[in-house]
Amino acid sequence: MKLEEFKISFNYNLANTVCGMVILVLGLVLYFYAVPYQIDESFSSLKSIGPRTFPAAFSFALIALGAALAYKSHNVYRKLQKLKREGKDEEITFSGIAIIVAAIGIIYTALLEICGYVLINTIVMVGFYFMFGGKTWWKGTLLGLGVSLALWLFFAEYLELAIPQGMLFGG
Amino acid sequence: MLENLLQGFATIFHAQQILMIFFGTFMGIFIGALPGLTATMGVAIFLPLTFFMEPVSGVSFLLGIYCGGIYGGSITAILIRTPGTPASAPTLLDGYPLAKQGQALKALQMALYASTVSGLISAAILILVSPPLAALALEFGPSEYFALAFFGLTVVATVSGKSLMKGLIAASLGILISFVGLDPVTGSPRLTFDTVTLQSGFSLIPALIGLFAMSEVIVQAEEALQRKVNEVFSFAGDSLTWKEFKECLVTIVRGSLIGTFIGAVPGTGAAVASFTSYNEAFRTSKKRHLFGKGCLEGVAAAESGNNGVTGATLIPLITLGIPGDTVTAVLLGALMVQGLTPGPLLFQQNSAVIFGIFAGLIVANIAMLVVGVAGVRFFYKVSKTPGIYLYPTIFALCCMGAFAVNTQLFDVICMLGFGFLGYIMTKLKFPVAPVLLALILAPMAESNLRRGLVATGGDFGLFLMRPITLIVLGISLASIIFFVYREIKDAHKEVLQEAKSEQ
Repeated sequence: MKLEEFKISFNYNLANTVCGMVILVLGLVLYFYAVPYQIDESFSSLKSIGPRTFPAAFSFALIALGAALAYKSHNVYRKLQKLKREGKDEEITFSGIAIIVAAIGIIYTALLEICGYVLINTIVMVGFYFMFGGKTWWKGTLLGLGVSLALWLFFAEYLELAIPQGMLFGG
Repeated sequence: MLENLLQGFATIFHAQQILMIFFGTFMGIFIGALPGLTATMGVAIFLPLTFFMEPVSGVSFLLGIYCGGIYGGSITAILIRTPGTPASAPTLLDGYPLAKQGQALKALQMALYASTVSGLISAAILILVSPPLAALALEFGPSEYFALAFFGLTVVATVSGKSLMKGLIAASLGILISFVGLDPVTGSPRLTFDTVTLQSGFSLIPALIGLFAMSEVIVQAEEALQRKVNEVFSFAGDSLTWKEFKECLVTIVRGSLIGTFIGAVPGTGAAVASFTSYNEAFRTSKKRHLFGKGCLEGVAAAESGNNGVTGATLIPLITLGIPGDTVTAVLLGALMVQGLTPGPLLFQQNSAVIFGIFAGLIVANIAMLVVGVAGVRFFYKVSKTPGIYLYPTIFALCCMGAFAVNTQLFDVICMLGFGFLGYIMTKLKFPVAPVLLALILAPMAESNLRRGLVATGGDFGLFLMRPITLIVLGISLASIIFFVYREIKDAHKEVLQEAKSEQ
């Protein structure tokens, strides 16, 4: 299957309803778990406003706004479903690219310190090159190696930053 | 002030500094000319390169990218009817018809000259207005800073686009993310989930690279596969004559002033300035009938409006430490990385740096003219760079940029995380800018409020009863009421329209 063909579409208002519910749950977790158990207020000298005040207020705001978004979006969705007018309700499409970029990102961060910057960056860039429709191996490799070496030379050699060399290369 | 400015020019007039500004402007026009890539993204991508530069060089380099990026968007707007940046959208209304009539070169030259003139006017106003405003701000205490940060947060409403609710959700998320780390007053850990890595919180630079560069890479990558190229026009036609430029001079100056005024107001930005300037030119022009059909005045108005904001947006940033829009929020990150905290004290403690940056902005505008004249054909070719080369390179720059902040893998993970957050938000039509504004302004508001209250023994009355605090809070409250009223009015309109369509 071609990359362009890999798509997942959602009804826009339904996606917003789900998003509102996720935000609502996030707000609840923050308000009832994170704020009371992950913030220590014993050092605060003020009774009125302490380390918990703002996190609690904005967690509550998240709960309210998440509920409002879910409610509003669901209402619009229901109305549009009732009307059943073609083309009135939009769709949002997530393509395969996002999933591939996420996978590349995970591989990149997992292997950066093992393989070293130049190697992993070249591999990832070649992967990106083919993902965007590149067809020639040597062009992709030249691009990946060229950019990786240029960045390496600038940051590691010129600016003397500790860029991972990779365990494979004794770094 | 003149002495300070001359000192600033003395700081900037070194081969390396000038070269960096020219390079920055070149990269800015390069990025602006690529459809979909914005000036903000350009500044975010190249910010890590400035970590090890002198403050004046680094910030001037970024200002070059900023000015060049805003102008660069006009090249594709005129030639391929695709604005490189949102601020160039009105440019295509007359630029593209001009190209169709075989006058592409004229339109491109007008865009460049109008951008340069307005950039210089905006820089001059920045230099004139900033020192007295900073002197006034020297009297500010925690109470005034809290009020200013609070006002800055109300900007969220203006950068929220169509949905205020989504803007508020984005801002709340940003605010909550900013709480991760050590408490600014007591120093105890907050929302760190007992991990040492989270104790220093989320670094600003990886967050902004992720939100503005990485997320765009994913969005643009998706769109690049489906993008259709519009009809492309060549550089045929005559050059712009002095007479034609002179005819548009009033429009350019007016556009520059509109851009400067709008740019100085937090939360507006280049796109608003560009449209306002275009509308104003249309309203007052004698050639009104030609607007939209290929009028040089339209191009001049749009471009002078959008580049007019470049200097003015720095006024609230440098004098008060309040970023007025996303690009200045990124520039604030650049200043902070250099150990400079924007605000009135910066004028007292580092006036040489500040006036060096002012001089850098002037040089950046002149560099834009030189680079623009010399490289217009090259930038046009650049606008057609295939995504197969562009996006892998931006990905590599984003990763290296995030890593270079603290040489920590955690920052790369954060950058990718923020990138996906930005991507999902863009897909669901949530504005991304409020997250960044909240990340910067929420800690400022909270720490000043709490420190101020400690000083007044927890007395809110004593804390708030200061004239400037009351005025700024009053303006903030008025703008909140205005935006809520507008939201309710829009919702009411929608209901009425629906009822009509159901009948």
